[in-house]
Amino acid sequence: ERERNEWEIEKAEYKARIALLEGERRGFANLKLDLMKRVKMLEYALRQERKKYMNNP
Amino acid sequence: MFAAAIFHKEYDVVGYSSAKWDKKINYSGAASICDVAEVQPNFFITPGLCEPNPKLENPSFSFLFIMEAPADEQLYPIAVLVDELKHEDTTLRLNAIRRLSTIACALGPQRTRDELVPFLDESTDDEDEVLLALAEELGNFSTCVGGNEHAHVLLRPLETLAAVEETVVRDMAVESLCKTAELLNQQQMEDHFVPLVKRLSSGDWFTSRTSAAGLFAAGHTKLTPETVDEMRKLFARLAHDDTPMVRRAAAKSLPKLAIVLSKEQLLSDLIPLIDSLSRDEQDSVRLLVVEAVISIAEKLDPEETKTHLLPILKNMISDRSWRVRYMIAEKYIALSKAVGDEIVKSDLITSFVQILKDNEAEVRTAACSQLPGFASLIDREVVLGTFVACTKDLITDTAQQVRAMLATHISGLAPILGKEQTLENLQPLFLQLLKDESSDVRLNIIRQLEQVNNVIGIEMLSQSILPAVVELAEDKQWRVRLAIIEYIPTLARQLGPDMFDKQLGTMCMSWLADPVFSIREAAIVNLKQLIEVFGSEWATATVIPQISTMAADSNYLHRMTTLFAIATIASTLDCKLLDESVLPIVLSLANDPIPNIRFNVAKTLEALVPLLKQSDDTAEHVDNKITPVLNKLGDDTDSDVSSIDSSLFTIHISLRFFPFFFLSRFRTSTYKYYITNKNPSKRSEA
Repeated sequence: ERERNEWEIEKAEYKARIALLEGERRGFANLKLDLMKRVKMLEYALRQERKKYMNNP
Repeated sequence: MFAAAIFHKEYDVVGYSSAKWDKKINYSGAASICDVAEVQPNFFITPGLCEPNPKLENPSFSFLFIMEAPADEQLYPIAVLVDELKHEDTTLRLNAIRRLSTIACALGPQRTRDELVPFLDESTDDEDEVLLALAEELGNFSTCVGGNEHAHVLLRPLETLAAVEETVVRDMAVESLCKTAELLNQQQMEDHFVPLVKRLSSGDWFTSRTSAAGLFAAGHTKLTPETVDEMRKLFARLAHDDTPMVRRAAAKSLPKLAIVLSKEQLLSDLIPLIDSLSRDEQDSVRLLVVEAVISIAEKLDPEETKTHLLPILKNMISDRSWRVRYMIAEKYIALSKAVGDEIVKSDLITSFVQILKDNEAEVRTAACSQLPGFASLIDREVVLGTFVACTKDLITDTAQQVRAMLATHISGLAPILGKEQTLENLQPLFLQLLKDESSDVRLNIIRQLEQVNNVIGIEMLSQSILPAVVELAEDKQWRVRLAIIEYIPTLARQLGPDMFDKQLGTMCMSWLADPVFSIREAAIVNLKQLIEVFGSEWATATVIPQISTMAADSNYLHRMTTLFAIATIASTLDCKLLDESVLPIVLSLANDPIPNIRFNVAKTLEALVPLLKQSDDTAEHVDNKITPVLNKLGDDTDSDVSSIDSSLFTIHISLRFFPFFFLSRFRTSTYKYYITNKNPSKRSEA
């Protein structure tokens, strides 16, 4: 009986840990997405700048 | 998000955004219809909506179709920001704001001014955390909007932020506004900044008015005299505001304002304001005036200070609220330096005595902390005449924190009074504080002994102070003895080894034989700390002989203390000393008639073995000397003694590289027990 309780407590702890890590991972994934978007935006802006420069040097 | 786009045969894409984005967006990318159809499968060709476009030379190949916003539109910087600010996760929104400069960089200065800043002004409907970050970012945004000549566009969003409810955000906005104001030129100040201050200071909510109070000092020098006059009137109105929050903010910004204003303006405008604020009904407002008085006094002549500020100051020193008096007491040194010698002599000395005798303990505590600093500003005779008498009263103060503060600072008076006066007047006070019932007080006085030491010399100090220490060390209450033991290492550091041996050495040793276990325990820890202070040689000369005599004591408890002491101090001694002097003492006790001692011999050896193994010379002795003894203890008749040995063996073995070489040399019951129970697989090898 006691062993079973301990096992359940352990399991609950692991579950909590997994939930925490999953949450963190989601956060990082979102952050990465945002950062990628920003890099693309900057690349685009650079292309535009370069084109402007090519047209009227 | 949908957008309409016309594709031309020359692969120019001219897009018209949907209702959501009513700005015309030009895409000129290398995308043919087929390419787009491939990468963007969900578009719909709707030829009926085709619009003639004058820019396109040959419209024969034109289609109008609707599709998911092309990748380029999502890259439109503001759209990126909008996306990021729509996140549920606050940290992501915070990150978006923290990297606002990237967005501005992509947009370029012109569009940052035209699009980003107005957008930010509208999007100030977020959590305080995000707004705080926004306020901070906007303070450093001037390069992003195209330099100082355009910096005024930042004022608008900051103005909105300066009126929000959360204080931290408002304060940050005010700080950023002040920063921005430094960058503006005179024209911008007159056109943009001054109207902003006016708007804020006439706001309905007190929040905007408190923010306004912090803005008057910024960029003051760039304004025309007329505007300055106007601003001063405005500030005076804030200082007489109905709400105490605004008056408090005004009082807080007084010192900054005092720095930028000229002397005439100070006299004509600020002094009346200070006068009225110092008589405010709220003590939280009055106590803020103290700082203002200091900064104004620094700019005025002694004469002017006397006529204008002294009445205010006197009034505040005898204020009915202790918080105001506390503020005065805490700033007393700064105050005295600001008003100059003459006023200190004529008025402040008596007031200081008055606050030293204040009936609130907090005020007295603050005054005590100013004691040496203030005493250094005035004559020695005056200190002797007035303050020493006051401190005598304070030593018997009922509040412990007052005495503790006094104990910290009273030694600061010694250099001011000089050697003779210290001996005559201060020393009795020290002694009395040293016997104080509160440990904080005693500790503080011992911590500061060095200052006194420098003035009267170590000889005098030990003659006068040490008898008190010795007396306390023999106190009947063991808690008092314990307290003194805790201060011994501090004291030893100040006295040096010679003086220590002469006066306190025997005392430290006598604690080892104390009837109370806690004292013996503390004395052992104390010995270890003393060895750390004085070094190994001192230990050889004083500690080791003492310990070896104790090992031969008839009381078994004292013999046990010896073992405890050895186990504790062993880590501070070097290997050679351990081997030559300490180990024989331990081994000689292995044949003790009392099992308890034998048991502790084994435990002590356990502590010594790893230390002896550090050096090659002594490591041999472990095998030669210790192992036979352990062996014998393993066969002990007492079950406790032999049981601790088995655990010792395991430690032993794990420390060796070849455990079975080591093990094979004993055939004790313990060893067999170990082999059979813990390591059955290796039995055959053994």
